[in-house]
Amino acid sequence: MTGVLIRDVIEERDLERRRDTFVSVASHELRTLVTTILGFTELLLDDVHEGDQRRWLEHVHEDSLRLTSILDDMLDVSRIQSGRVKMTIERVDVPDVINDVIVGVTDQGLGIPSEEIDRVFDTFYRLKNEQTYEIRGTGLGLYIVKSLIEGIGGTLNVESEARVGSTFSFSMPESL
Amino acid sequence: MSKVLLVDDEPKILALGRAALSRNPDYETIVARDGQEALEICAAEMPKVVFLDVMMPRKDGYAACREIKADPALAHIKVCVITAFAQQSTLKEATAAGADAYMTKPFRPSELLLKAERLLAAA
Repeated sequence: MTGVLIRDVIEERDLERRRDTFVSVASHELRTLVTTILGFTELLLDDVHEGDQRRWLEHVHEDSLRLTSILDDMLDVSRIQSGRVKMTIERVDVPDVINDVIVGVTDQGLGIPSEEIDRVFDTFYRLKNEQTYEIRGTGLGLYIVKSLIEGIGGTLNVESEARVGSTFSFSMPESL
Repeated sequence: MSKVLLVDDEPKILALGRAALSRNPDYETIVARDGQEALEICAAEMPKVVFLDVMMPRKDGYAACREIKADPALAHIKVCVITAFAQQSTLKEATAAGADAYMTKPFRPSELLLKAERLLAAA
């Protein structure tokens, strides 16, 4: 029995090591590729000021920035899920309007249907509303925010009504 | 002319860095493909600023940075470490290696130029 447990621990550590290596290599290789795509595009944009070529370059530029953002989000998720995110608590000055340990933000956007509200914090989850297909995203942002807030002992909540809007609020433990 | 040394094992990154730095006619850009070659070029060319990638064959960027800063003849050279990992731990590692500055990939051409200007002003 002990032998099996030791083997399981070794296999788990091997899996963690492989995952770290994957993240490390993927991060280095993909960021290097994005650097040249983004960099050369920006240099060309300095020289091409009008016409179809300008618009095409702007498309490449916009999508390479988006690719960078998606890459960052996916690497953040990978680090969160492998427990590699280390957070440091520091005292900062906050605006006077923030005078409580509960902070919220309300929008007047598309809102979230009640049958989907439990899933909005899942990785890669996107609302099944036709309008949301026009809004770009990966479905990772809320998962990352929730994980980071819970990582320091806080909670993230959402209240929403379809076609009316949503309120996201988070609370921090007073003992921070 | 101010000599700036770019060090990366990816030729396209070197080409991008050269193109970006060529926007300032006062810079002479030289390149190296790994940390070992960077040390040899530093000794021969005495650049004022070095941009060092971290993950490279033969000798990585942190090791090259440590050797530059440990050599009294080279220690005055300003070193900026460029890493693909935007984490607090890599910033600490760069600082521990003696780096004067730190950039993450993907960096923008304008960011590289600005960093070169700041480091040269402090050189």
